[in-house]
Amino acid sequence: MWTAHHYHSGDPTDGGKACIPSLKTMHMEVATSTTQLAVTNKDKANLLQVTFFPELTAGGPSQPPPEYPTPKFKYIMITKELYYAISKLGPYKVPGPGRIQNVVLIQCTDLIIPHLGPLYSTTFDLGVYLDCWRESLTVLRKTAKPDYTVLGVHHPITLLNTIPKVLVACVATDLVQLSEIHALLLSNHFGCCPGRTTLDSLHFMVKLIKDAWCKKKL
Amino acid sequence: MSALFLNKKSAFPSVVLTHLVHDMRARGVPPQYTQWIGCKVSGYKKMLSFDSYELEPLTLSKGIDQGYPLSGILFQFYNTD
Repeated sequence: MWTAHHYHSGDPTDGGKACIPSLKTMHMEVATSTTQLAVTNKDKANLLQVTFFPELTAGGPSQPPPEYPTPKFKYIMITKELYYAISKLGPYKVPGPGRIQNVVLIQCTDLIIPHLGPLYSTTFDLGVYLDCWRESLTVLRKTAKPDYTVLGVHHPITLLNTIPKVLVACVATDLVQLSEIHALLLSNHFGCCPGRTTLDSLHFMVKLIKDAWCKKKL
Repeated sequence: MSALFLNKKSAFPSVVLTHLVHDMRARGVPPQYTQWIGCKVSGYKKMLSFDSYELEPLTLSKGIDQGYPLSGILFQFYNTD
């Protein structure tokens, strides 16, 4: 009975749950290097926290121009984007700290969007963002490496709350599309966006070279 | 022709919010977006969990959140200038 209760009240799956061994860190000094071993969960957590969420020093304040240029587009929250963002969710992915499964939104899309739309729009109108939406849970995934005591082989995965995840996905899609339409980013600057991956940059270079060959410029 | 490929360490945690907002406004993004992003990015909370051990939520005042779908396009704006 106890085992059944354990399975019932536990996470949906523990197949991918990482078991973290003692972690080694190297401290480089002038002539020697020493190895420190983090054994307890607290020590390991502190080490992982410093690695994944480093406290970096901020740069100096920017000097804003007297006036910013006129915005190149207007803000409009479109319901169609909410449908698209929800349709892209994986139904049974591990939920964030809010514990709402994606499948709830997928199954109740028509019922929930009339409520979510005005709620999301209000965050823009009032310029607010709920505190509980800022929370996320970071879990660890092991990469295929021989030694798991090395800190760098553990990759962080962020589990987001379901409700803000849809809003953020909509805004991201919106910004990516609008920045392409209005040419807000440099055309030869690649990275972090759909259609601008490293592979795309290589295709772009190959095309430039072939075009130059065709025109006998090389 | 020249190409430069960079692998920047701690790229997202090193983003300065005021610079990000400035860069976006300078490139023509409406203030509704930048104001909302300013609210969203400041003071996000991360909880680290492993082996059934969960840390107290850590409030981060710098950088943009790793793992959010929005972070990629925000970093592009930040990194363009």
